[in-house]
Amino acid sequence: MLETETNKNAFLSVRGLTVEYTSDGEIIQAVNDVSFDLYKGKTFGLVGETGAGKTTIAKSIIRILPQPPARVVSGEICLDGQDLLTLEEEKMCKIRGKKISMIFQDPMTALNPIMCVGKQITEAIRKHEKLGRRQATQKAKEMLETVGISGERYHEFPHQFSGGMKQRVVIAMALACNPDLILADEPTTALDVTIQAQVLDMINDLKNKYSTSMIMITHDLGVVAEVCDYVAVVYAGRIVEMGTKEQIFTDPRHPYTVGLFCSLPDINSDTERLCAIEGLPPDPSNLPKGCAFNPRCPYVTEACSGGHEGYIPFVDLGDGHMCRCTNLEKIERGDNLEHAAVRG
Amino acid sequence: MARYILKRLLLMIPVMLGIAILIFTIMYFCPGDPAALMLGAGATQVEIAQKRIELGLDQPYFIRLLQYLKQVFIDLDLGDSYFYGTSVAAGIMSRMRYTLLIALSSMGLQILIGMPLGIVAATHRNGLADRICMMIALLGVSIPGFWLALMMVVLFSVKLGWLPLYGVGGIQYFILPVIANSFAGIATQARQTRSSMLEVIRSDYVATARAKGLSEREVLFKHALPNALIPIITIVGNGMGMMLGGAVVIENVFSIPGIGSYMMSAINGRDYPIVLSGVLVLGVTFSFIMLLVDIIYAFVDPRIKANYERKAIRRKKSAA
Repeated sequence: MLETETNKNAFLSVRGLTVEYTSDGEIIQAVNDVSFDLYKGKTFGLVGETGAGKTTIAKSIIRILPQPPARVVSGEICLDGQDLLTLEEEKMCKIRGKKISMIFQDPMTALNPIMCVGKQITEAIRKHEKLGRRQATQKAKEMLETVGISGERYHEFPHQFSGGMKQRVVIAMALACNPDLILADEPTTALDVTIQAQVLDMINDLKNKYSTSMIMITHDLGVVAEVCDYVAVVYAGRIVEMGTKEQIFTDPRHPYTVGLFCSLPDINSDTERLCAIEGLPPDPSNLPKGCAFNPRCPYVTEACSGGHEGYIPFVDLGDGHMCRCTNLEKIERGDNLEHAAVRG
Repeated sequence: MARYILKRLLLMIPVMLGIAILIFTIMYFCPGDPAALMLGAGATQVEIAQKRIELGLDQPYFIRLLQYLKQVFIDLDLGDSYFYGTSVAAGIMSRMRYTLLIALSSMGLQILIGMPLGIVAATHRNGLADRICMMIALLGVSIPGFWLALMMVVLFSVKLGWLPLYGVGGIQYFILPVIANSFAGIATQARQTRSSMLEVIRSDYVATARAKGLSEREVLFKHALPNALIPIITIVGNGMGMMLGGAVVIENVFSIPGIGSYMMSAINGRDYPIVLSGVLVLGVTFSFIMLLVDIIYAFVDPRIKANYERKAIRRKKSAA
């Protein structure tokens, strides 16, 4: 069970993070009581479908949520023992780009179209490191070389690069000041599969080279398998299952996680249709009581809509594998995958 | 880039021809006879007919049009005024400075006040500052310039006696005309700046800039504003046209001897050469401003510059 207090040993420790959006007077609960720890040099995957609140979690950590409409209701985010949420904006500016940096989802729009790519990298370097103009330019060129772009292209503009190249530039920018933590928000979603593989390899290499910690946001379980050490499955703004990659991949316990794995195409089986999780994600302005997944869950019981204070608490399955489900005894190990497959 | 500018300059010739033909035709069909107006109420029919022959007004439409076009575009002569008998070109030159002074200072005011209002409104979206700025902008677009001019004259010149009523002289003579002329422009500028800033602030690259650790100020002025500039510059260019047109009205309210009042009295007296040349000069001025706007685009946005240059390269290739 996660402690309510932040974990001093962890590099990044998030506790009880709750974020709301206000839209037309309606309150949308985007992130509900999210807690996790990330250790130095490790990669933590946040998996979930679109709108589950993954990006909001990342943006709260680096504090670039547009406020309003967003509002961090409660929670603590500790980086190296420093609570980021109570830090003054000025000090936060020194952390953004230097200690934490972010890789955005869509490289097409993540670069300023009217500033040459080199200058966009130099800007980050000069902001955080005491380097002269020439040295900073030199370093930016080196960064471009690191991600496989010729330094001569320093003065070119984003429209002169392809999508994969732009994502490399974004990555070069994020890595420019050797950050301790990278928030990668679906860095490969907008790229085609061959470029995806290249970019993932590059991220892995660079991460190992600089021993950076990373939060990898994705809805692609293949990406998780390739780069993550720990995984949290997010559903309707809440972590429903969390553990090491091995635990989640070999022994998924939450019905939603099971559903996700079953909806993956299998190269060895000859199925005509993929299994789908029935129903749709819940309306975030009106989440179901208890487990938000209960309207779609094949194992649903009365207990699912109750729980302590309106939500289902984590159950520790040992070795840090946690799951929010009331029917864990019923969903026995191994049985779960078969059951879901039969349904499909 | 140079090729592009040259092409645009050449394109200006048909535009000028079009303006000339259009305004000539409109004036031709306008009722009123300059000969009769010149000679006054006491003139006989014979005298009027003689005057018409003298001015060439007895000729049919096409002959007169061709004569006029030849005079302007081949002889490069704007002709003489019917009434004053003096060169129209000289008349326009001596008056242009007042019109340009008013139009340019109005534009300056539009940029200096309208843009900051828009930026403040956008950065304080839905806040008190936003409401106040947009209230001012709403007033600006709703109040007609000439009415504002008259009301300001009543308050500042007649009641308070702070500023001169009409005429030209020192800088104090131009304060009211410039304010009256620019108010609508300031309002449009503020609204356009606000909406294009809001659009840009939401974009991903502004989030990227924030994530780099730039301060709010740097994010706004280094990343957001330069990207919001394209529609803002368009409005400045259009505004300049509005200011030139508005100057015509404002000059009459304040009796400023610019092109506007020159043309107004010429229209009333059917002094064709002045009207035609006045419109032509304003048209050319506006075309130049639009060209300038398009060139500025290229410096603001490298994509547009690349586009101009790519067209030139493609043409070169197809020619070779």
